[in-house]
Amino acid sequence: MAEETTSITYVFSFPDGHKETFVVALDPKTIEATEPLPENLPDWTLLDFHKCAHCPLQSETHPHCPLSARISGIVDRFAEIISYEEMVVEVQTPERTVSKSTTAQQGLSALMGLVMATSGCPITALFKPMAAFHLPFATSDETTYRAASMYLLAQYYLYRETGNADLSMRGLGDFYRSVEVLNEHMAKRVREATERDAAINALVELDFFAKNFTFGLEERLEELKYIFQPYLDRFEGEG
Amino acid sequence: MAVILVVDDSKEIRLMLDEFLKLKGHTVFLAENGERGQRIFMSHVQEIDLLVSDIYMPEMDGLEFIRMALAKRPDLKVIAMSAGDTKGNLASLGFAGDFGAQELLPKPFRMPDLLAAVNRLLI
Repeated sequence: MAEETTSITYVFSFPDGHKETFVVALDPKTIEATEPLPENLPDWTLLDFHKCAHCPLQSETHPHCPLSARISGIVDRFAEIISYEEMVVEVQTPERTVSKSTTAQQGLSALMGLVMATSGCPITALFKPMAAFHLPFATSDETTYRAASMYLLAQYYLYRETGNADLSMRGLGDFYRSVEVLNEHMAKRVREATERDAAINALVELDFFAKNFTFGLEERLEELKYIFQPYLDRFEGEG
Repeated sequence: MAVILVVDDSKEIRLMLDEFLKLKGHTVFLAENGERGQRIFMSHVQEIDLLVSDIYMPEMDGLEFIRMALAKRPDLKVIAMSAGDTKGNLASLGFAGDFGAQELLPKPFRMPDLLAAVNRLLI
C-alpha cells in the first residue's frame, strides 16, 4: 500500500560546515510534487518569459511555468555558489541513503533532474517513471539503460492498451529532442536569476545527458548490447 | 580527420564530447582544467589541430589556457564554450573571441552546432 507522500531529501554539506537541505515530497500515485508553491515567485518563472516553443500550457490557466516555479527555490539558495565548488551531497530516500563527494554542479544536477520530472511540466512528465525510482549521480551509461528501459516498458503498457508500440526507440529520441529545447529555454530563464553559475551549469550537465539520446543513440545502445547476450543466446530464433 | 583536445571540468560533458567527436572519426584528448590541458597540449603541440575548451574552470581557466596555446601555436583552431562566468552571463565568451577563439558556443548547445563549428574550422 502506497504512503500518502514519499520524501527524498538532498543535504548539501559545504566545506565551511554550512548545509543546505531540500526535501522533495511526492505524491506516490501521481509522482508529482505535493508542497505548495511559494506565493511570491520571481518574474523569470512567468510562463511567457522565454516560454518553450513547444509548451502546451497557456498563461491564462498557468501564469507561471510549473518547472521554473519548482526550481526557483533551489536557484535562489544556490545563487551565490560557483559550479565547481566541492561539497558532500547526501540523498536520503525511504529505502536508502547515498552520499557522494562531488561538485555543486553535479549535486544540483541530480536534484534538479528529480524536481523537473515531478514539477507538473507536461514535457518532463515523461521522466516520472525514472523519478519514481530515482537514482542520484547516475552515470551516462546508467542513464541510457534506465531511460531506454523506461521507454520500452511504457511501450509494453501502450501495446496492451492500444495494440501499438514503438520498438525502434524513435520516440525516445524525439522526446529527448523536446527536452533539449526545454533546456535551452530554461537556461535563458535561469541566467536571469543567478549571480553565480552553479544552477546554470547543473542544467547544462542535465542537457548533456539528454544528448545521449539525440545523437548516436543506436551506437550507444549497441555498446550496452553485450550485457544482454544471455537473452540473445536463449531467445534468438524463437521469434 | 583531426586531433582534438577537449578541456572541461565536467566529467560527463568531457565523456559526451569524447564519444561524439570519436564517432565523427577524430582523435580526442581530454583534460579537466586548463592546467592539465596545458600539459597535454605541450606533449602534443604539433599534433593537435583543434582545441575545444570550456572557459570557467578551476585551476587554470579557459581564457588563460587559450591565450597560452595560441601563443605557442598561432595557427591553432579554437572553439570556446561556456554556460557563463561567475555571474552566469556570457561575456566571457566574448573575451575568448578577443583572445583568438574562432568559434564561440554558449552552453547548452546542440551537437549539430558543435559539429558545424568543428567542420568550419577544419576545412
